[in-house]
Amino acid sequence: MSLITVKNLSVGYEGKAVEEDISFEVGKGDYLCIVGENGSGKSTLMKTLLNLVESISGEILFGDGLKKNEIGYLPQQTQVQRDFPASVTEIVMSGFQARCGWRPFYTKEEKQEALAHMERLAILPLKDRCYRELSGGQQQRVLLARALCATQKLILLDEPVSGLDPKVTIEMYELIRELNKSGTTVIMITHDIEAALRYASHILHFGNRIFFGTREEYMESDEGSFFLQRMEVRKNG
Amino acid sequence: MGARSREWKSGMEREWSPIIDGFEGKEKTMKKINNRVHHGNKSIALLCAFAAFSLAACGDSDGGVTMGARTQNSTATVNDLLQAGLEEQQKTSISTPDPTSTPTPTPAPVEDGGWPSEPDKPDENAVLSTTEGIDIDLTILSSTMVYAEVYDMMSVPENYLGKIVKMEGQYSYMADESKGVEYHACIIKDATACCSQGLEFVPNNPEACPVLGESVTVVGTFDIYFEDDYGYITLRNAQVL
Amino acid sequence: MDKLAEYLQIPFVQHALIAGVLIALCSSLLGVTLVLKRFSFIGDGLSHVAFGIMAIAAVLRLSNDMLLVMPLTILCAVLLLRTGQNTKIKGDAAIAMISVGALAFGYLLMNIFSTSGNLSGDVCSTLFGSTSILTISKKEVLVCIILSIVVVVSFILFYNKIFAVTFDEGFARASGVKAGLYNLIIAVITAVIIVLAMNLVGSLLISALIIFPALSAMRLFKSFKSVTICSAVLSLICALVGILISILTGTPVGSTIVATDAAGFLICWIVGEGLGAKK
Repeated sequence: MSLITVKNLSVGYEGKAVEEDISFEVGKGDYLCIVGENGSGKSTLMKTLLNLVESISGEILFGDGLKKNEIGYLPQQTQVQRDFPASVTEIVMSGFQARCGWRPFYTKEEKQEALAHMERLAILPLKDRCYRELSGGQQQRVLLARALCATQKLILLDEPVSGLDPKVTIEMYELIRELNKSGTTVIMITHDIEAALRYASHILHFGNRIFFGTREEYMESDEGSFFLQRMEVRKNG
Repeated sequence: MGARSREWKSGMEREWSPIIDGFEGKEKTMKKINNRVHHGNKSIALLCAFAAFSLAACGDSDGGVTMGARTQNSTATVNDLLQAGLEEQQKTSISTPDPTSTPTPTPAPVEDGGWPSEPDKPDENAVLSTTEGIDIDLTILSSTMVYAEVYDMMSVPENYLGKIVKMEGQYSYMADESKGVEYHACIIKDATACCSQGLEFVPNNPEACPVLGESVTVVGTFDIYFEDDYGYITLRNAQVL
Repeated sequence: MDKLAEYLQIPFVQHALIAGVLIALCSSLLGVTLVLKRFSFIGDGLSHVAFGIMAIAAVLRLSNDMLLVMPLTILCAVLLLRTGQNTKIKGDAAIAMISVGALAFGYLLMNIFSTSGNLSGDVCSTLFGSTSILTISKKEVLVCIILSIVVVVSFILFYNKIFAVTFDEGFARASGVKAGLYNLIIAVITAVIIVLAMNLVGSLLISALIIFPALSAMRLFKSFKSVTICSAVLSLICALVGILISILTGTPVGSTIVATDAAGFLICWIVGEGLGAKK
């Protein structure tokens, strides 16, 4: 049984479909990249998965014991966060909120766990720093650590490398690969098809038609081969 | 136990509501009527009439009772209906003063526009004009405090019984000819100048009272009295300084 | 100084200080969240709405206006937060419309129906607080203490959740936090604080009480916790100093407190700039 099964899903806002008839499956340990043009409904799909936006039609099934609140999420940066007075620890700890329920305070174990995640993502030395003073890459790591506090089963990443410089981008991708290797299922939105081809196990492509399949299948498909050709041309030229 | 105060004319265009203005104040007034003042089996009509009376304190209100003013032409128009109701039920109607006559009912030679003459000290009641013996001296308080203090006097008058109070403010006067009573008061305003209250006094030397609207300083003993089932506070044996 | 010590003996001064400090404390706690959620205007809008409702209460001659004002203000807070969450411009416009409308209708109602002659006094003391804080009764002080305790306790209990919802509502929602519920709680607490604070500074100046301490603290501190604590302390001190100044010098209480808050902001801003320059 896969973690998430999506059947004939239509997503959009206020009844207006942005993308229709999406079907795919995500199994445990998969690394799914969602690629496609801007405005093709990638983010909307992710928000629908996260239950932030209601689906128009179709169904989303959670399997393998995955609960709705066991999804970690790395959103695109919003305006509010930029000048927010918050320390790294405070933000990382807020990832535990979902499992707190009505419990008002965090437990010692949760504090330890948060520190462990920070260490893993190499942001432990920053733990008392102010979030808004960190570099873009550091901020993304903080948010990733928060997502890990929420769950280690499945994390959804929305353009995790946008606005980062090339070196930091590669570091970020490697970090996500590490997480995936240690058992966390990853669903990532990106318009960086090159990276998708390098890291993903499965690819969901929004374009003229919707493609879903493994990386290998994608490379042989029309969309994939078109892209590969372009890459070849660039390399050779 | 709370006390009520009359509607005093300060000699300016507007009449100031004696009890705290502002509708918070009004609610407090209402509460006082309901909770604190014993009014037996008086009808609700009276209460309503009173409410109208009490709230119609100032502005160019025509809902109030005509009041006597010593030096002022009475421009207050009378809301006949209300007035009639009030007269019947409350018997607090007050005559319109004759602007030409000297309104002081106890004619005494007023010297120099009514500023303090040598007060003929009435025996033991003589209140000192110095700060000695004065329990509450409102003249040394800031305007914010004065207002709050007077408000407190109105809301918990029992705490102040028998205290010697010194105060300073605008002089106000009204007379109830049907009863042959006259009332003197000192108007005290708050810092924002939008609220004011009047504190009554019974002067031993009424001839020393200034003209309406002028500043007056009074020392007297705090007391409560009842009239028409309402409690009023006043300074007895007051000496106008 | 002697004068001050003397004043502090007076019961109503003590009442005013207790109530004033508590109200200031409560309003500053939520101020940080409201500022960060870009909801500063809600405080302003709500206070106008509360003014309108108080006008209705006055016209109806309710003996206890709290009973009407409190629930209606809470209702409006919930509605305003709802609209605020939708498309941004629409929400802003809706709030501006409701608040200005309430103000206008409130004044109109009082003007037409109120039998009080001292209309300007009524309006003035509701808008600017006047000396209301010095004239509150023992019962009102008690209500104030109880509500303050409720506000502070619920703030502490929900502190982590309020932080989560304030920092990133999307994430909180996605990870299964009932963000809607906590937004509702924030709205209700805000409404309670505003009704309380009308006694202290009047409805026009409430937003100052909510916003200034938070903004001042944000100049100096960089974690949510320290900003919250700092703004609470600042607000407390400013309210205390403001009340004492107004008592001693005879200035209106509400505006003196706000002026003190503004001065506090200026100091924090200068200190903050100084610290920033050092780095």
